[in-house]
Amino acid sequence: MMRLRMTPPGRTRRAPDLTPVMDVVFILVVFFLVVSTFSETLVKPMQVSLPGSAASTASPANSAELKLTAQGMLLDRQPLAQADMTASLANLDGRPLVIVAGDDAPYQLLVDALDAAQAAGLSDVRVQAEREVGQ
Amino acid sequence: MSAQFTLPRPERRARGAAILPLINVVFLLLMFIVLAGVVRSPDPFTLSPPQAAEGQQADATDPEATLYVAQSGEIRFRGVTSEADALVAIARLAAAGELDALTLRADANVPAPRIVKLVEALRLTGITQVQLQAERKP
Repeated sequence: MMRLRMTPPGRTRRAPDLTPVMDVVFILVVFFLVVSTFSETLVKPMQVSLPGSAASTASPANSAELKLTAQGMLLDRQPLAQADMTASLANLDGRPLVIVAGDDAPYQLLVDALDAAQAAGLSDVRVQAEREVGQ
Repeated sequence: MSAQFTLPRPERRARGAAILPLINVVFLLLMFIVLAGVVRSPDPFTLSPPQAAEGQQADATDPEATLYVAQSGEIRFRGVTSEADALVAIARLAAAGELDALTLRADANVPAPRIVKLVEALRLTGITQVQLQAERKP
């Protein structure tokens, strides 16, 4: 007697081929790696003193002046190390701060100064370009 | 006299290397990248924003309300490359009430007075709030 060995239908299911899934997932990984940024973005409000009538009220007589140059910074014409900036700005006794950006100062220095002012808890901080001084 | 060992021939695996652990790892990698990274619209030109320690966290800023300044001084606002045209466009939008806050994304090496003058000009166009964009210091 001859015996036919047949596997029952429906039981022959093999594991599905996962290679296309892997292809897609690898492409997704590469896409997200290229597109996404991992650095955290911050925004800082900036208050400028407008030229003209506002400039006179923006720089009251008792305000402290922080001048930024490429060589460093001066607080009330005294040289100031960047490491001492926050501590010095915290000792202004409520005087408003005017940050004067010199022509050769990089933008990073301005952000550092705004950072230090914020860390020192100053609320009245104004920024102006150097040309306005003495006008 | 020599003893002869006959070891059974190792069985060849029926299928190739097990692919399942690899898939697990790659899926985990995908999840990590999706959760840790932020998808942001690309800058119109190469620029590295300044680093800051303080500030408000803002992962998604509207590129339509962002003014880009490259290290060369080149600016870009909604595809407009001339500074005068950009300021006119911003003033129009501000007058129409469609734009009141603007984000300034500038390179860290742009001269600071240029940024200050630009913000002054923006204030004169009627923009009430200008924010400087920076990256958190590592």
